[in-house]
Amino acid sequence: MTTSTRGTARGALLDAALRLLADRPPSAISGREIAEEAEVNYGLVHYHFGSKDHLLHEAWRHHLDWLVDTEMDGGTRPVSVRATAEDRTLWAIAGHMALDPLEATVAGDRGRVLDAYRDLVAASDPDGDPVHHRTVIAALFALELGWPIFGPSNMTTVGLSSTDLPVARARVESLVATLEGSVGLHSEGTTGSNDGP
Amino acid sequence: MTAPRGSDQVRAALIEAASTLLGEKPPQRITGRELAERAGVNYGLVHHYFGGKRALLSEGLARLAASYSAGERADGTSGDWTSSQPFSIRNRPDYLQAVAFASIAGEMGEVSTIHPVVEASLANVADRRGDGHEPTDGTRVDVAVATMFQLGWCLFADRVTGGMDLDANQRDEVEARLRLVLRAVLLGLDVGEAARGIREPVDA
Repeated sequence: MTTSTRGTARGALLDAALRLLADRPPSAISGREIAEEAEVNYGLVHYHFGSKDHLLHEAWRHHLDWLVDTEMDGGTRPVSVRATAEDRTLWAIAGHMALDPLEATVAGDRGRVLDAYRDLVAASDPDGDPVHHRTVIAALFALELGWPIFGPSNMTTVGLSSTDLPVARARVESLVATLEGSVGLHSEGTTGSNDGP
Repeated sequence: MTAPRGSDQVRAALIEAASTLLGEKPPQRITGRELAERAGVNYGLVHHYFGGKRALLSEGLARLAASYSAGERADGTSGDWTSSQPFSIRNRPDYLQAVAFASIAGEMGEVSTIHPVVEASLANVADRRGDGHEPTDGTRVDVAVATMFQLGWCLFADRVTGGMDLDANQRDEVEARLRLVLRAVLLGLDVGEAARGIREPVDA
């Protein structure tokens, strides 16, 4: 994914910050590394963003905006399993942001993606039970982010191999479709298949 | 603090250093020098005792896994993830973070992650589903999916509940429902109904 301000030093720094966040947590990234990755002068980190932490925060916000605008089609549909599973940047950045002890100081945001999900569910199931809604959102996050991060390494643990990954992914897709269906939502690319034994 | 001496102390100090560092950063960012420094031993000893950084990191992860599954048994949950404490890995942030960092980096590889605990869960679920002596492939897939669901929730719980502004009670309500969702995944029931708080019975 790229930011909307390509071709400028500012845009190059934001893109570089996202590439590095996919590789490691914020605390393991220095301002110099971001400048080097962006191929711009280090002084521009401070010129455009004030500090490394502000730059990382801005990059994270851009990333969430991109996710809502693109993968959620402006907040009109949930993120598909395909989108999270096939975009390493997406789940790796989410994982590193969740893991990093600096997170609290860097990311003061409420989470635009969660807000978009809450609005979506409230609109599609206006008279529903709020606990059901929250549980569905929580379960969707756990499944859609947990699957690409932890799924591949868990296949051998249960006595399966990587050739069984598509079967497991289909199961994840079916669970996601059932959870979404229970609040009246459908993400792109799902057939709305039933989840059964 | 005196420097570790003798092969037992040096090995133990290095494995300890590895298990600590694995919870702090991705494995590819941990250097042999850092491991030696954290253990308070000479850098050359990493190679002398482990042949290299990777083998030492594997031992560090294995140690965290063993200590986690030993703790699970001591808690009386029998290492069974269908039990009442399915999100207990959150009580071991060191291990959860190490597994997460390594998984994101794609470096879990051959290293056994949560073997003993997952195996117990597999046996338990196969039994409840009446699989016979060997779990079916369907059961294995469901246990793999349930495992990653638990790890995924433990990793993102704070961000998700914080982002939804849930107070402690609301968070407990959601977790109680997520336990039902997990049960539904493992027993092949409807996860949407589980999210509504419905505990479907299972045919014996």
